[in-house]
Amino acid sequence: MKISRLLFYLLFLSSCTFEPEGLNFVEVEEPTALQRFQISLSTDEDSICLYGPTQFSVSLNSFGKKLNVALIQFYNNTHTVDQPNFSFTITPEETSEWTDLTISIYASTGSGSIADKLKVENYVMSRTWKIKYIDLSKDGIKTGYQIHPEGYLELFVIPPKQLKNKTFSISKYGNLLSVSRTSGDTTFYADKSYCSGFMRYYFSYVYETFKTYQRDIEVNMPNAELKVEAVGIDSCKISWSKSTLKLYYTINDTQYKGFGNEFSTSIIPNEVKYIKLDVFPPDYGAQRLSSFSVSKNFTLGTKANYFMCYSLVKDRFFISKDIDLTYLESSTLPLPESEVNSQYKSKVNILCSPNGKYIAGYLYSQIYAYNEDLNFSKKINVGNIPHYRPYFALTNDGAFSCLRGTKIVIQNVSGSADWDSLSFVTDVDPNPNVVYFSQIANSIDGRYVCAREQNGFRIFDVSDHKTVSVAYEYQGKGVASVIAHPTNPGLIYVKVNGILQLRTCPEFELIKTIEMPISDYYLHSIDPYSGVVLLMKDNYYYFIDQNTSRILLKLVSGSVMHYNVILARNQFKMSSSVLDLTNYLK
Amino acid sequence: MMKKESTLLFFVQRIAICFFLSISVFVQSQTQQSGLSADRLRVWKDMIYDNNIYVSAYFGHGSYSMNGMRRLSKDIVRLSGLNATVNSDFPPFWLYGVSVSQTYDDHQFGFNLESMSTGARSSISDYSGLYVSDFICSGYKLGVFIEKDLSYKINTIKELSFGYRLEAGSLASKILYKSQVTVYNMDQGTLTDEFGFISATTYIEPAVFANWKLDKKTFIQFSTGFMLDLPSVLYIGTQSEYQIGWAGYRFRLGLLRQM
Repeated sequence: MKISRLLFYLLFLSSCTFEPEGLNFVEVEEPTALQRFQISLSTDEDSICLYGPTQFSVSLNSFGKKLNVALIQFYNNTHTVDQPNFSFTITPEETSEWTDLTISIYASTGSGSIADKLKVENYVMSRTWKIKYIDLSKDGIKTGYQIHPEGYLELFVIPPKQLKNKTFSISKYGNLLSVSRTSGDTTFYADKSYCSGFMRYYFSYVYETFKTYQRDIEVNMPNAELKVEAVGIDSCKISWSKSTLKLYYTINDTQYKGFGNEFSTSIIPNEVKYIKLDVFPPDYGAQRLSSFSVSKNFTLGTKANYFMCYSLVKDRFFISKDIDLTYLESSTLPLPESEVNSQYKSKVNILCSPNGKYIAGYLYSQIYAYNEDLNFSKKINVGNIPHYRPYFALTNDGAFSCLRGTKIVIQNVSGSADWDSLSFVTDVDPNPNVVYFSQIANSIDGRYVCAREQNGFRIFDVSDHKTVSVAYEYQGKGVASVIAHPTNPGLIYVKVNGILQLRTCPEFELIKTIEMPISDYYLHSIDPYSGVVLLMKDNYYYFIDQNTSRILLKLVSGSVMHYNVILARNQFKMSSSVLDLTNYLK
Repeated sequence: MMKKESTLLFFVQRIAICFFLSISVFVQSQTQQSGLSADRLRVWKDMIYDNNIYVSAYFGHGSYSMNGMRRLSKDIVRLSGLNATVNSDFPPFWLYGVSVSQTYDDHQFGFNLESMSTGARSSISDYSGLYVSDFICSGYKLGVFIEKDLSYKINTIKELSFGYRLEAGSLASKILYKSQVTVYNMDQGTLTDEFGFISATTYIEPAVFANWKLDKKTFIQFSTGFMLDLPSVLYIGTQSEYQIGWAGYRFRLGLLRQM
């Protein structure tokens, strides 16, 4: 046997080393598929708000099964524990999004199998909560206000859920408001002194040591709006917007007191009624000062701080709007109530001829003449004209008449070169304190001037405006007053022995007697449009239908200057307002 | 794996042959230097020039104490917590070897190279998976021996000779541990672990033998003995130590050839 063969066999044999074999199989009962678990977190909420590092305690109940491991996962962190009761802390990340907190339980099946002993055969249960970080310096606490059912203002603070420290404060002008009530998580602070308007309350919350969160709570409830509207021509209704708060209101301190929002009172024409609304908290008696006050002036009719005149022929009003004598032609009255119109403040009184061809404004010693197209024609100096005298006239022939002392001055504003002016002395009472209306009247055609003088009544013929002659003379004081007929140049109204009569001019022949339902009155004027006679007696204006002798309307005159009163086309203009009496003069 | 181990064994055997030749040269050189007696020089002269050399190849069966490894195996299984039971526990197993000897003055002097192996397995399996823990222990011993033929004193059968034998030398051990855990129905559900280490120690083995002459130069040899070794120690961590012991009986049956 060769050595090489021997070695080969030796190598072959030596390769047969010990090799272990066999596998022991053990019968093990497989576990059931389901197992009950319970995870208890220290909060009952499913959605958890975090306000800072927060510790949670967890209690796991695997109902007899051994806990292999519990995984706690939040953000990108994973922690493992093998005890059924444990705690962990979440330090929230700066994100406002909801994210998951997941706790997973891996519990032994208890089967005793290899996988069970290696802890890879588990009953698994997982539960997820939503967690969210709330930065209290930016978000989380809800504040606001509401109205308590009893009608006062309530500020409220609703903390975010799960916030443990709930020490809030609300102040006003540096004074802390006390907590009025709580309801659930909501804390209420009552401010019973608030009525309306802008108010800033300061809310503060110390959520960490030396960290205070502050916020303004702004309340801006509308102030009461005062509204006054006429009710008829003798009263007005005062109303105001009622607040959603229960508030106490007073009108002019004492005229009205209460919780309502409406009040009616009487008013006379041309009266500028001052109305002041004060708003108080409900405990009115305890309040010394109102929290809100609003006032306004109210006058019946439409505000008219301008002068005007009326031409029946043109059926048009002419209006002097301002001191620059810029005229505005208008066919209707009153001018609509507007911000612009209310700013008119004219000082120039105007007259127009009944035919509407001539318009004259007069101020102090100046007369400004305009034609029917409202184009300025000339300015005339007539010397000192007493404005308190109720006599001014502009007739259809362009003659402007006024009284200076006892002298009647007639100026030509027509532009005609035939005449310039005419003046003559009368015997009218020169006492400026004696103001009688309807003492002088011009026929509308300008040919005659009627004057009730101290000792009689005369009709002067001024037809050519160059010479004056007496066309008629009545001796004695039987004629008390005279008014030219507004449409017929040949007629005049005179009050003779207390009786109103229609007579011819200058013949002074009686046409008819007009019965008046009152006596001892003063004749003011006649509406050229309707023929309604305007009388004055005591403190009243009487509007008389001369056909039926019926009192159509009776108005308190008040302290109005009578010579600034005009009745034309049923528009009753006093010093600063116009009443439309169309519905009352029927 | 087997191919790899065979290659290793072949490599070890080649080293043994080189070692044997080196020892021969070393002994020869020492003899010259120390002035050994003329008788000893004659032995080597006979070995070399009289061609009185015997070569033996054998196989056998041996038991191995392996108490330390047995304890290590149990500890590992215990630590696994899987209650694996023993499939095999370092049982007696086959051994193989070759020897070369020279007759001198009624004694045989020689060298012996032997391979032996044993191992252990603990395992468990169920519906959920399996666990296997294996130890594979291989031992390679290289020793010198002396044999004395006593048959000339009571020789009744011409072909039979017998005597005693005493052997001592070095023993190299290779321990390979492998484990596998598999969990079914689980992705990547199989884990394996494997480690190995090598140690060396000395041994001594007294034995008796019997030769049956087949022809003029060929014998069948049977021997039995008991090997004792100084156990080498394996440390696991700093606290535990486990001895590797190959002590045990040996039965060998081989073929002896005079060259």
